[in-house]
Amino acid sequence: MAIEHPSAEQLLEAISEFLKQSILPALDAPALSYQLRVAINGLGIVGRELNAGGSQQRDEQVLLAEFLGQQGELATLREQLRVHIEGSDAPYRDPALLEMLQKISDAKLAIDNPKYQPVPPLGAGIR
Amino acid sequence: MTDMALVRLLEDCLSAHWQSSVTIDNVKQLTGGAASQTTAFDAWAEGTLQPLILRCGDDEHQFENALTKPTEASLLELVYQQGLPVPEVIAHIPASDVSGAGFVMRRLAGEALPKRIFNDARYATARELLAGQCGAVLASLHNIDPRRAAMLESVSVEDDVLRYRERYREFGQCLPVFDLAFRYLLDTPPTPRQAAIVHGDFRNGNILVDEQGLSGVLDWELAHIGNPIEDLGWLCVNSWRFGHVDKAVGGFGDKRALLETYNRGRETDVTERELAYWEVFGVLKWGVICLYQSAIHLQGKQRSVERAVIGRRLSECEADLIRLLKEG
Repeated sequence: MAIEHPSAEQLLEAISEFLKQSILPALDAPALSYQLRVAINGLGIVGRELNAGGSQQRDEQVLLAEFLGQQGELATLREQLRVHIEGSDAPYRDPALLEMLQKISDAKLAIDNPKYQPVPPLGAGIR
Repeated sequence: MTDMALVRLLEDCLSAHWQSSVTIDNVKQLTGGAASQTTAFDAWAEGTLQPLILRCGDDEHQFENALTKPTEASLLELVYQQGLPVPEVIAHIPASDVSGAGFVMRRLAGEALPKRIFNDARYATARELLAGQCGAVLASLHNIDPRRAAMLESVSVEDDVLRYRERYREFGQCLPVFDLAFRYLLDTPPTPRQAAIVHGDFRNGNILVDEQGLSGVLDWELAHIGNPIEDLGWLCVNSWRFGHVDKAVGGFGDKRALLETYNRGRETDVTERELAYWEVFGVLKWGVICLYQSAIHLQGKQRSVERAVIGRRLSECEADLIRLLKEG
């Protein structure tokens, strides 16, 4: 069992709060403040990955194994999917492949940048 | 480079150029890597203040195929002569022990920060006009005979896609969404267009805006000769909407306005459908740039938290690519 007093997530949270509340306001060089905000953002990614990274990878592995009809390590399955993409006819028109890849991509996005709004569909006429 | 040595260098170059004594003031470095710099300064010559910019040196880590500063200067001179809203090049600066080769150009007035362009009340009218103005300016650029731009490299669409795919694969990251999108680009070539001068980085953040709208086009270092619709697609890439996702053109306008002025300016018939190909191309190009930036950090060439974190923006590219492919 992981060490829990505090947990890695709580420790990260404390460091982020310290940087945001105590260090950021004390900096007067805009370039440094910018870099610090980027770093705090990076800590946020680490926190979300600690929390959800394991299940994201398991889900990806299950989805890839189901789609390819074979078991294997995540890295191997990704390579296998690349082989499938290279060897199929118009794979970018395969709805099952697109659906699966969107599920995987969206789970990664939820870790890396949950606030990001992906491009809206064409149909709305606003794109 | 020390400020004093730089000031002396600029004073000497500009004094010789204007044949009168010049004093330099307000030197402010805007961006700069180890070797390349963009510096704002004021020059006083014969009692007149001239707001100027120095661009010099080439970073050893700049994105591949980026123009050297002397080449960028000669391209700027060409498009300036053609009446495009770009800074006038004032003087060429030879390489010396003070700085790399570069040039001095006029500092145009205007706002380049997307956040201010989106939010500031003074740009309300500009925001309405901007998409159409971008279409008109791109039309003027693409109407220039590319044979006049012998300093630029010419690339076919297919070679360019293959080159970006090769770069992607060299980084050793397996991203099936990228493989799928590259496959789409290679299988479904775009409407052929006569080769033109492509700016290569025409987006919100690289344009200057004043109360009347577009006032300048900056950052020409990714220019090349190729299919010009690349510029229109790049301008619509979701990253450059900075969260204003429902405004496809740079987060400030819509595609119809962009295409209307562009097509009118060139007597072409580019459609949103054709643009969609170049949006996919643009997202992949941005993805490869993200990989490249983070690799510079990871390989220890230039350690930087910013470069490290940019690698995680690949998820944004994947999310956009998969949606664009579903439409295609």
